[in-house]
Amino acid sequence: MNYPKEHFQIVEALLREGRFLIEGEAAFATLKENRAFYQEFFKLSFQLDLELTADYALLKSSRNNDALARDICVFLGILCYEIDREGHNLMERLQFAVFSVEEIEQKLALSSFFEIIEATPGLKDEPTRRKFYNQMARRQLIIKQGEDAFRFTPAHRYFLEYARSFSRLIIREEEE
Amino acid sequence: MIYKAEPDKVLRFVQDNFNLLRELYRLQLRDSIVSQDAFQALTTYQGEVIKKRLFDYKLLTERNGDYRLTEAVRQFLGFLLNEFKPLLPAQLRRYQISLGDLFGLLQTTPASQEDLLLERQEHLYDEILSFLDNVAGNTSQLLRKTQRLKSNKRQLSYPERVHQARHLIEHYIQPLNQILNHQNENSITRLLWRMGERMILEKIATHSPAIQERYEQLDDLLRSANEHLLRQSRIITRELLPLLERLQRESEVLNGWLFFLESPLLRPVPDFTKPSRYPTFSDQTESEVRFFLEQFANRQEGILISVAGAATENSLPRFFDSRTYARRLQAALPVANYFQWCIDTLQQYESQLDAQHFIQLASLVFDETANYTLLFSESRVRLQLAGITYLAPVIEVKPVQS
Repeated sequence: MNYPKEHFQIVEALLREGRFLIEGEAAFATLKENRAFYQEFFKLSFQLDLELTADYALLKSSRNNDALARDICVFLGILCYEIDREGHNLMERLQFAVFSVEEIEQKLALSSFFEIIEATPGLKDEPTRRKFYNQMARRQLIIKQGEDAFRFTPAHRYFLEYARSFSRLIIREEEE
Repeated sequence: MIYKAEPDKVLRFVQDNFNLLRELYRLQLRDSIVSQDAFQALTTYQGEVIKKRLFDYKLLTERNGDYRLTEAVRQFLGFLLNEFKPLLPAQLRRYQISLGDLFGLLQTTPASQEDLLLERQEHLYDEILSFLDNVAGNTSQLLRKTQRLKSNKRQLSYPERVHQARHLIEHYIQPLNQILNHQNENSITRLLWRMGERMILEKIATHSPAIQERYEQLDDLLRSANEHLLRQSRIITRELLPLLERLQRESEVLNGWLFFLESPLLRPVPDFTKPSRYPTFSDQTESEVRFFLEQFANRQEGILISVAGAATENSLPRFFDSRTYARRLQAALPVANYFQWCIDTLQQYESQLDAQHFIQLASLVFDETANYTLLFSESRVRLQLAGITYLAPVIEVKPVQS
């Protein structure tokens, strides 16, 4: 049988590196073209679910207690809150803005959620956060712009959608 | 009634001074009146004649020291410029009453009073038209406002835009949608539907030709009205409500995060796979290899007594030079059975094998994984070492293909 052209890159990225594939990568286009094949491939070979949206893809394993995922949620949650507090459109900022590490450090230091940052092992101080940025870059959640700046890839929406699902949960709880 | 000029002369005046009238119209649109000062500023360079004619032709009237365009003129200019203030939905809703009343009156008018019937048909017809015009005007104004808000030409800050959008949505768009929503029992659209059904019945009933004709006109109008309203309703749904959705989405994201941050260590987190790398080898490889080999050890039970113990201990070389062995391994590549090779090589140097040296040697390929390609096979090799039998896998070592 013939495998699609970027098969190795797809498996390498999604499975071995555990990162997002994003719109613009050749492997992503191939993945989209062969959606049904890869859904079956990852399910049957590794028991993993492929989530494929218009601009990002990742594998899901129904592990919902990943430490890095938690760090990302805390980080993004606070960042969104701060962006909104400063009066910016958070969706637009996350999509288009380049964030300097210095700017982010300042936001975090002044944030009323700073205690949560300190209590989160993966984010507790600046050197740890540097490692955290590198981890996010490896997972293709951000793209570095030089040493001290980065912008978010479309994959950040995965986490925003997750936050929205909470919001629906709250509404249901209130209704009940 | 304009006493001082013929109607066509007035129209020509409007044409000649259209710029001035447009500015007056816009001023009034913004401030509801044209203030004395604004009027003076606008007409500084206009001749006295023109100012005088504005009043003579009743285009402008004075009210408590300020000015207003005459209502008919205001409407006409609004129509020409296609610039209105969107009506508040309350202003549109009054059509529900007026249309309902006129319709009720029409139904209760006895067929014998033909003149009255004709008159009421006519009023109903006009009222429906007026309603449709207003709705169309309103939708187009709202659409324009929304588009301006989206493109943000006025460089409003984000909170201001949110505020304006909310205002538009809450006070204009949603109520307007209610009025036009055909699924809502109390909407005007539904009222028009009911009228339409009635008109069809009246059309086939026996009436005098004049009345019959009017009913047909009403029927035609109502048919086109429903299409028209559906179109307006669709514009609202397609263009205006997504704006609301975008805002709502944003607040949903924020609410979700706030909920998460209330107890960030207890809430579930999104599903995220771990990278599944092959095991890497590091400075702990030696102990790892030891564990690895120990699982193959068939330890013999009982006490082992080494007869030659102390004597051989001293004769063994105490020094293990890994670089020498690495060179030998490089020279010997490819090696079909790595552990066997280790034993063979050690035996060349040591008559009695030292388990410690063997483990150090065996860890060579795992320390420098970049230099070797390892192929693990299913078969096992039996190794005798310091009284212990190891069942080690057969590993083939090849140089890395570049």
